[in-house]
Amino acid sequence: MRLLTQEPFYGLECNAMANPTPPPPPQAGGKEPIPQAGGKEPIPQVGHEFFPPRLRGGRGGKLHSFFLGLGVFLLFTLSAQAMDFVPVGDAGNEPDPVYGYGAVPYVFEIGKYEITNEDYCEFLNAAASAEDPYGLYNPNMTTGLFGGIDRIGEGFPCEYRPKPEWARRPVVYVGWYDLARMANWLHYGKTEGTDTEGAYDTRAFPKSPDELVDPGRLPQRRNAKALFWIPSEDEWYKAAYFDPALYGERRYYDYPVRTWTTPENVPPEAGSPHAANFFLNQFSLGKPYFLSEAGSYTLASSYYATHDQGGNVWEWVENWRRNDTGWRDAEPTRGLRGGSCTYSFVGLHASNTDPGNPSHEMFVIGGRLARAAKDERGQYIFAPEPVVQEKTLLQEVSDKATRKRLLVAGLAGGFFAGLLVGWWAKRKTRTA
Amino acid sequence: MTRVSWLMGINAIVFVALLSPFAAHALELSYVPVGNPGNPACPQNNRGAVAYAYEMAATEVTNAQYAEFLNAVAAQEDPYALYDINMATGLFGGIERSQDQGRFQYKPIAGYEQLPVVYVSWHDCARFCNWLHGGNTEDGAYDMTSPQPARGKNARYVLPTVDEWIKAAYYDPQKKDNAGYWQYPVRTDAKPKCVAPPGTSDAANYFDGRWAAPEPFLTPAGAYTSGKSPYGTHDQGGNVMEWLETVAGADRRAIAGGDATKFDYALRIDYADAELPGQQLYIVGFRVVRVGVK
Repeated sequence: MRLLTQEPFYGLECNAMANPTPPPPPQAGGKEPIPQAGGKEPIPQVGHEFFPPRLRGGRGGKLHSFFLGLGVFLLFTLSAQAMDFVPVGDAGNEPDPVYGYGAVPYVFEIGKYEITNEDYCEFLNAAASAEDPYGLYNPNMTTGLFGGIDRIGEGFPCEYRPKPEWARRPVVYVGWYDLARMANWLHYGKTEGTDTEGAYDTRAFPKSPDELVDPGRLPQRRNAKALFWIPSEDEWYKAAYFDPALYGERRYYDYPVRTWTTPENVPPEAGSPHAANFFLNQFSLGKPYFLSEAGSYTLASSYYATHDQGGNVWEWVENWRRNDTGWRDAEPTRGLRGGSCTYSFVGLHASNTDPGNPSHEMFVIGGRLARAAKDERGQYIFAPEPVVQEKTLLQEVSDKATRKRLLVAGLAGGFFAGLLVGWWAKRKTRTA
Repeated sequence: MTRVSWLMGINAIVFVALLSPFAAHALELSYVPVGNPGNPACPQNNRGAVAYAYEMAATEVTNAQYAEFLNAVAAQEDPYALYDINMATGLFGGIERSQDQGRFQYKPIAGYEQLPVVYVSWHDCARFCNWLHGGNTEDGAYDMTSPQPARGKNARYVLPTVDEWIKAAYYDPQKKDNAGYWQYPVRTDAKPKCVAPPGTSDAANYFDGRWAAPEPFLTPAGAYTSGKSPYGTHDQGGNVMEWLETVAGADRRAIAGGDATKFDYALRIDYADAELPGQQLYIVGFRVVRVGVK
């Protein structure tokens, strides 16, 4: 990703097909990999235009085309490092029979790497250099542990630059709301959205990290036509652990580097296909950086060729934490997946989702984004709205609240029926 | 000098040499008395009631103190892995080890002398307590041959129980409400101030969207000079989590107090956490209690 100027040139370089064929799965856990099922639909050739829709086509005319061409030229020539996405095909896969996640009925794309300081600087320079009303920049990015961004200039306007040696390491101190706003910006060049504009409706987002917002007013998920978004837990899980070529009922690994055994706790130079940056009696990377550069474990990837979904930094997922009934003062939490360089192998395991206050911006929390894929006709594939199934009569009756209502209604009905019977009996006695 | 005198002299030297492992060593921690035996429990978690007087270490054990322990018991060999390599190479680690003529030497990293030691397992801490009794790491306070060591009858230097720790941190006999318990271990019911030391009387080293102290982020033991509990302990809230003696669940030991990387919730009286006792983590240290106070 390389932003050239604030307007009108912004965009995302398409590297979706940089690695179109997932590497062959290694033998692990005694299971023999098999070729991709012949009956499956091929993964669509997905790819993106350079610019969000409002800057493409339309009434641009020659001038617009000229600037567009210039932008493309500059983008290619000046681009330091693209933000890569990989396609996640195999639409309609079954969920993990052990942990229940991972079913995704559509094709989408997910960030090949965690968002880096370099990526985030591009975003900040576009969206937070003149002013930063939403706190997209956090001073800890400069002064805090693992922070990798310098802010140049007092007050505004200012410029954001990755610290030397930190450009390709994952950005940290980003909250869920920061990522949602980054998705909006990638979607249409603005950080704020509504339920009909942008990727996320930001109208009810908290104004400060301490503001408690009624979760019912916050978006449960992306807008229906979002082009970029924070991956849902199922999307994230599928990209990390699913492998359609596995034998048996369960086509999921336990760790996101195609293995069921604890990944190797070694630095990237070791060149292991099953290594990750986490803590197991020692730090995989250690001093002075602790965080590894995005994708530096070159051979260690998921089936879909994503890197670092296990370890390095925790990553936000879109969902409210499933089965979350509140945590620490009933604080609603979004999910965090993947573990970090300071946490044990438990964090990398498919079974683990940690809770995260979406406002909290911490030293081992970052993320990656997902985006809409395109089908063979060049049309975007949007994630369908989750279907809310109507409850059966049996489910209604088994519902606790419904049972309570039925009990009250039954008691009241019984009381009035008793009165009626009494009145009728009394009347009959009088008549007799 | 007669032959008898010579023999008596040699005898005395041998006697002293034999007794020396059991003699009191030089390391002396600073303790504050925790009186008011028979105080009530906190109504929020039914914790904190202690029927006897005891003394709580005023500060967390530092790298300098733990290095002294290592030099005393792990110079020749280190069969219990009391030293962890992360103390030199890991995040927040503050002790280096070198080898000279077959002997290990342990030295705090410059600037880390007074920072709390980390990467200590529960067993390391129990052995430190045993050593405080007189030099032997394997008994004294805890019988380390036990699969789940418990406080011995004659124990004097021990790890705090949850009740001892909570009382020393939050209980204030002068406080009228909540049975005398504050919400935070610096005499406040409101969120402590997240500022660098020495700070105010309600300041602590924790994460409140920003770091309280600049790099290296941990603060020297007792550096918040006026930030202390009613009994006078420092850093029970924040800096590093602390191992406690209390068994939690089947196989874990309680840890308490929050740390420099956690929000204020972890400093509150109703926070409870536990870890497997063998874990040596970058943000968990300990402090000592002295019991058997007359």
